Amino acid sequence: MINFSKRILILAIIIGPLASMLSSMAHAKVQKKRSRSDYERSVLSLSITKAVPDPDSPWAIQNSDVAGHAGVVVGDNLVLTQASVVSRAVYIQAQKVDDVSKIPMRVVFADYDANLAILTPLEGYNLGQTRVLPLGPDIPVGSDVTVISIENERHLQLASMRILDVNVREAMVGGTTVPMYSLGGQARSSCRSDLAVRDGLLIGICVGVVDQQPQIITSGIIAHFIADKHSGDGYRGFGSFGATLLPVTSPWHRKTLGLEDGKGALRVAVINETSPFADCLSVDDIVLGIDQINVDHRGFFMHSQWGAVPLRNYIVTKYAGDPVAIRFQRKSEVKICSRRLRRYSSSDYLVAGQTTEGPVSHMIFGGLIFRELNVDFLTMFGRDWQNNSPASLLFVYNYQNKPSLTRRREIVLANVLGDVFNAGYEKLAYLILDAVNGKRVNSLDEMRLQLKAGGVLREGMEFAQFDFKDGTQVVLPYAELDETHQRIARTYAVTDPNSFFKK
Amino acid sequence: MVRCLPIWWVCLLALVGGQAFANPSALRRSVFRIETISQDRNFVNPWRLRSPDMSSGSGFFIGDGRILTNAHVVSNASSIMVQRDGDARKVPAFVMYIGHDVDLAVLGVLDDKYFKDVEPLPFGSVPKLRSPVTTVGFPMGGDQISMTDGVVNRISYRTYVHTDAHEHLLVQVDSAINPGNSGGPVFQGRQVVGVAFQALTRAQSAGFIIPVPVVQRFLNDCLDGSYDGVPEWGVETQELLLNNSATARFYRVDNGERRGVVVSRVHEWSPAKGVLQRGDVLLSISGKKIGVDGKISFEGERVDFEVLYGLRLKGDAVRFQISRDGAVQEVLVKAGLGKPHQYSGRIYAKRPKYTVFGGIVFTALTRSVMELWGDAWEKRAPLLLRYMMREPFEIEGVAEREELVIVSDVLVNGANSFVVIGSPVVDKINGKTVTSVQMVHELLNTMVDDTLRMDFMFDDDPWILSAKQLRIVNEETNQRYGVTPSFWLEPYSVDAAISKDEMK
Repeated sequence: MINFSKRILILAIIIGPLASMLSSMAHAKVQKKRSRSDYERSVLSLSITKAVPDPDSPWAIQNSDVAGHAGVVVGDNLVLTQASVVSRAVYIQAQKVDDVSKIPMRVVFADYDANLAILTPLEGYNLGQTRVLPLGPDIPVGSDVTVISIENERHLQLASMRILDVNVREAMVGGTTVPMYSLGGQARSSCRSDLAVRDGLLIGICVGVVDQQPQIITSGIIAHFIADKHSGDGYRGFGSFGATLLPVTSPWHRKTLGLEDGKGALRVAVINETSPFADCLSVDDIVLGIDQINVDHRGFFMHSQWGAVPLRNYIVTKYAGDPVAIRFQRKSEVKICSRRLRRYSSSDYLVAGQTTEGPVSHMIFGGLIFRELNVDFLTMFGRDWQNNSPASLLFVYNYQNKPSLTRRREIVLANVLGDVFNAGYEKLAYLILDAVNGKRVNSLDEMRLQLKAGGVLREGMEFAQFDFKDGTQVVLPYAELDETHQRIARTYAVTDPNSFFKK
Repeated sequence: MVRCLPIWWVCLLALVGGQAFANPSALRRSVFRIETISQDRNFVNPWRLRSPDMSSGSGFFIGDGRILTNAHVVSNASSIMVQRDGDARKVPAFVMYIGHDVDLAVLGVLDDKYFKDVEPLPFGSVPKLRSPVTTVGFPMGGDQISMTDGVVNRISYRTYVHTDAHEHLLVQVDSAINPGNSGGPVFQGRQVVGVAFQALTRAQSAGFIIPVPVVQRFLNDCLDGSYDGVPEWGVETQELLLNNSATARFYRVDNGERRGVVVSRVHEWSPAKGVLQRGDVLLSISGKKIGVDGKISFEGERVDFEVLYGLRLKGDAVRFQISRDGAVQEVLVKAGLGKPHQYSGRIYAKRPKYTVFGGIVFTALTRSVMELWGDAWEKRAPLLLRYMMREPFEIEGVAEREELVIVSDVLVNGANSFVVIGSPVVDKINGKTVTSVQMVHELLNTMVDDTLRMDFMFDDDPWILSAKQLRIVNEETNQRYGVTPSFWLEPYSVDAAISKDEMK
């Protein structure tokens, strides 16, 4: 069997000669007509069984859920799909539309921040005769594309759509921001993992629908992902400089900065503590350009295919670790700061994204269920969690969610498993922890250590003291904790003994 | 025989069990229909008023030329007319006192003779559960007086919706309370036991009345010629904790009878600041024991202990028995107004506070502003604003401000045409932390800088404008958009409803 790197190399070879040919083709916005059979050897039906933790009882698994998605052959026995559709998968099968056999698959590699994953058959299995669907180039706005979805597990459905715009969006909640095509046409309610193709080339993968417009991760991002994995240096991921840059729109501000009409500039609005540029860039510095790229008055640069687009489109062509030079102005003085980009994962933020594998972290102390505030937790408030979650939690997610050197996680008292031990506290829920035994904690691990270090001694007893940000205080004794946990495990069917705090 | 008649009536009523109103014809002359023309405030363009709105309510005579009604019946009223049952004349009235926090108002008329031969209605006490009551007033659907019977379902401590920020004692009855009933008396026998004021819209026959202790406290508050308001408490407590024997031991109150609630927070603005502290256990208020559920025995019912505090007048000393670190002691909290509910309550002022500079409209973030997003503003309004409204003290840098200032609108001109309102909450102006609309007004009108920089809370995109250009276009912008006056900085206590002076 050809190893992964070698197979990707084959793919790269396929892409290479095509690229120059395609660049001339790209200007023709109307695509050549192709039939369903052209894609039947390249697009596979994926049947994915997931075991998703119960949001209310994180030690338990909800009923397993089977869903159908599309995958595309990008190399010998290598299938590309969305990472989010294979997260927490316990069983994956692939099936060609003209074949009755189902091939068990596994995830070779996934970048959940970019929402892309590569699958391969389990040991001893083979996809058989398939055809690699080559990656196409980035194509202009206004181009027609065909969106391929899998209907009834094995039936390819083709729909004609048009690229209306290119935007920069998160590939998944809390993930990397990447360029995406917005498509116009008859959209399905969900298009996850649907494939956008044009002239027999893969143009992108759909990750969701916004305002009834399918959002397609571009082929450039897919190529970046695949090449990164293939590089042999270990996956580096997409680079970022850990700052927010905003265009200078005020004419007066532009005048005071000496920016002539049309001269581009971006103001440094936020510089994260963890940014590689934190030591040389400051808020209110004016960025004039990056590397050899100049920005226009909107902060855009000219992309060869898409025209004027946000600077992020340039940065995502880089890898984490790549050097970039930022040219900026501070008090009329132009300076240059060169640093290496770093990768920001959703777990770098105060509110991490969804955990994609492994158990959902939690800890039960005397019936009180503590969890880290992350998107997993927030999704317990339903699909519309961004509106339905408690305002105190949404406030942290929306306004305090930054990478920090000192703050790692907020801990939330999710709810209470009522018991005589915790009588009086059973109605508490969704409270943000401030301190445990008088000390601030930044993660559940820190919380465990703090609890183990000993509590507050009073009246001859040792108490654990939990102080919450809204002023609520919980005090419970360490004594009888083991018996209480055994009772709660029986009553509420908490099957995982690791759920409970142990002193 | 004549003297016995009322007693005979009462006896008969008791026998038939349900009829509560003793002599309708004798008492109805003291009940008034109140018609108002009011104009709600515009919280985006505060110099404007909304379209006039006609509405009606009820009220009743309480002696000394006074009619008692609900505050919401006469709020923002530019015209008030009262009409006695059985009398075709409508007489102009004015607001003598208004308490938005308790939804009560006292009206007067210029013609003192109007009340000749009208008997003041006497007040009773808090009605008992399941006891019959009669609601009297002028509800929608006709001009005639209406009387409906019901019984008392519940006595509790809940939010009065007029401001939607104040909780008081209230009585739930199952007689219909419809629009127009508001402000009308609710009788038990010949005595008024409450003032009809609100109803549950999603439940049939669930009306609420303001009980006599709240009414009497309001009237007592007005005795010195001005209404101060219900004292603010500013103390948060945790109930039911002391049901837990270990927790009771932690707070050192596990000896003997278990009672009391634990203080979880004392706000900086609380009158109890410096007297109570976090971790104190409140054992009793004014000699009444506080249960572990935070309730006391009051008029035969169990109600939240805050009821007693809320019935005190400004300056009264309220006695608490507390346990602090196991030591039982008595402390006095001087009931005070503290910080008003300027963040969370609806505003009924002459105008919202505002100032307009260079077309930028600054006003204060209030509950009334939030209602621009409709009744469901707690779901629909931007998260930042609703969180600041509900939990202002949870956000760093907010508690110390007198009020939160927002940009409610931008009247477009050549100097501001590029701005986009993101977070509307103004944090700083030229580096100075903004604490009130007054401060914004003074900063902008004394500014000598060339540049106006406005930083907004939780927004990384400040506005940077030419102060000189804004000054140049200021007057012309105000004229073009009809902004007059260009600012209003009167406190919210200057009420909108028509006063005696304005009638003259």
